[in-house]
Amino acid sequence: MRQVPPRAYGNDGPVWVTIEPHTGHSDDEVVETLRSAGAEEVSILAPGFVSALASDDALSIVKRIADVNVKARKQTRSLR
Amino acid sequence: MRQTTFQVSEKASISLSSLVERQTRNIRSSLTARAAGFAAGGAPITQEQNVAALLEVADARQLVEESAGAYGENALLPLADNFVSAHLPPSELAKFIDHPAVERIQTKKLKLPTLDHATVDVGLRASTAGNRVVNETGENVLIGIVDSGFDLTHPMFADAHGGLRVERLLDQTTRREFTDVQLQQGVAGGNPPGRDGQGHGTHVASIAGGSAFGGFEGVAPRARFLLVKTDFLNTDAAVSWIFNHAGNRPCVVNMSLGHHFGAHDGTDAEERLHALLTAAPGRAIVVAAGNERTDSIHAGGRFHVGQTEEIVFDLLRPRDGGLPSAVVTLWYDQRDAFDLTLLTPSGQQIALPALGRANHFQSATVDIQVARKRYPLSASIQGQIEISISNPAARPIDLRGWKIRIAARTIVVGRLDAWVNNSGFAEFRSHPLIEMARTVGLPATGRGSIAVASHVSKNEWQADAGMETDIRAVIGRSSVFSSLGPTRDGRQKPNISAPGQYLTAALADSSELATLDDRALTGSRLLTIEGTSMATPVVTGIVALMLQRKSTATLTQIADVLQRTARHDAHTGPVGWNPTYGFGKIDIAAALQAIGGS
Repeated sequence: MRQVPPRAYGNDGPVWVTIEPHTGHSDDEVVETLRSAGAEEVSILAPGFVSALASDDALSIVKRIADVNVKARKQTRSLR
Repeated sequence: MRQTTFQVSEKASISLSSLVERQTRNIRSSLTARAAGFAAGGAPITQEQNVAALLEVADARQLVEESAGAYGENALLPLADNFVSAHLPPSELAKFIDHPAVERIQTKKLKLPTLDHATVDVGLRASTAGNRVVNETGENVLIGIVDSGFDLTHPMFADAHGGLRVERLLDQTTRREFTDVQLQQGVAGGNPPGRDGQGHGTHVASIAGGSAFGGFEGVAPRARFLLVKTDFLNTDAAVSWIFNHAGNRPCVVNMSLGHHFGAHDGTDAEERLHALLTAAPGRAIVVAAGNERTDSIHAGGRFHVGQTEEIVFDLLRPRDGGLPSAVVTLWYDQRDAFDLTLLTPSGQQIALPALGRANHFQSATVDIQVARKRYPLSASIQGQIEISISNPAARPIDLRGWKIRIAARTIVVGRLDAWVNNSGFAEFRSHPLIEMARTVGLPATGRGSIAVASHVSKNEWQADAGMETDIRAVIGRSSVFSSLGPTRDGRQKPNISAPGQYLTAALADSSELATLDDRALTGSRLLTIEGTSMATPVVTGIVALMLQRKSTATLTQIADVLQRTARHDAHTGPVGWNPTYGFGKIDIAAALQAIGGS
């Protein structure tokens, strides 16, 4: 088994994330940073919560001013 | 008293004969007709209503083949050599009375194919044949549903005038949004957006607010819908979209979905978003607690210094034929110190790195990433193990016998919990640390929602294959699958229990669930399934009724009322919270009385 560079946020391609600006930074600043870094589907869900589809590169830039949360895949809760 | 007589055919059962007779006289259905499963609630019997019947015939397959083309798909289904299941209008069924190959026609005198027992259980009806005992119907309240999709051609989405009760629909899988006019046009064209390939969302929506059709009616049949066909990732955006469109109008959102990739303490970003969005009056979110009680996806317990445990787990092959993968997260207090090591089936040891670090390994068969980081939101440490089988030719030996070694070095609190990301990815083998407790999933562990457990309200139902029974399901008892509380930080979730096993509600045409002949009643467009997914919309519908009565009620007030007025019985035990039923079984009349008005 060989060791390789770790992935920052899971997938090789862009990932869906919820981003929360650090104190002193605004939602608009996060939105602008994400868009400048090439992120897509950027939207403000509520004050303090920004949703985006972003690559590792874009996230490595935005994480200087915000916390990044990778969205989890859900399952339906029926047994069939 | 007027006496009515009619001719009873020797071939037809009394129920069918009386039904045909009634139809010709255009009188309302009787208790006999209701007991036979058609026209419940005293609705006029019309030509369009199908009747479920069993035909005894000389050759089942021949009869079905010679009738092919005369009726819709699944109207006649051969059950055995001499039995045919039929779902046809009474007048069409009556034609078989004189058919030479038909020996007898028996209407299926089984359970009402409705939310019958569930509505009695919560107090919406006094009996299965009774009328609603509360005046509220969800009028002027919005119900948001985040789910697999919706069959908008189903009559449960239509109002009494045939108009669609859906105000707007967002399809996250295509990133398109539809207005009510566009949706109505889609229905008229026979191909509305938001198609429900799975069938789950249609069923859930109809439980919460389905219009009356046949013998069925949802809990809040006059509420209007805001629907999101979700991609199962952007559920936070779905809830935000629903409340944005609701504006200042009262709105309750149903989430019959969840996961276990998180701290299980209410600090997940989506859970905190829920708390923010429901801080305003007239807003609520209701979430399924989960079905993972016995899925062996959680290990947890207290450690003392020097204690070492090895927990074994196996990767599971996905049902969709994809490659096995799983993520295990481990959580402990930041004042404690644990050595955590992954042992592969071949015996290789991979230590979880120091805080803030991640390591990634690859072989011809598997891809492994391990990481450890601070989780400041609850002063915890999060360890993470991601395993992805990369070789389609992986052998069973590559999937089985993975181990996590946990060694306690420094202990202040001592508690460590681990979860597999969700059901069906991996499961722990038997070990003293494997717990059924703390299996309530996210976002049900959040502070901004009501978490719903499931109990049994019936164990017999009618399906295309005939009468089905689950003798293991004890009426009144907690469903064996329903996830147990509390949360990782000891808060009291689930909040409440509602009927979730078994519930009969709307069936989405051409969905995966429509192919299950032991669950689907295709001629009647009904489906019987179970899960906290089904219990959740019962509570959602009841919250809609509460918001109709008091549109300014807050989530905190609603949860408090539901908990204070919950019903207790021999199954739940005495007053108070327990990890199985929460604060008890939901009681609609008591909740409506306690919430007050306006």
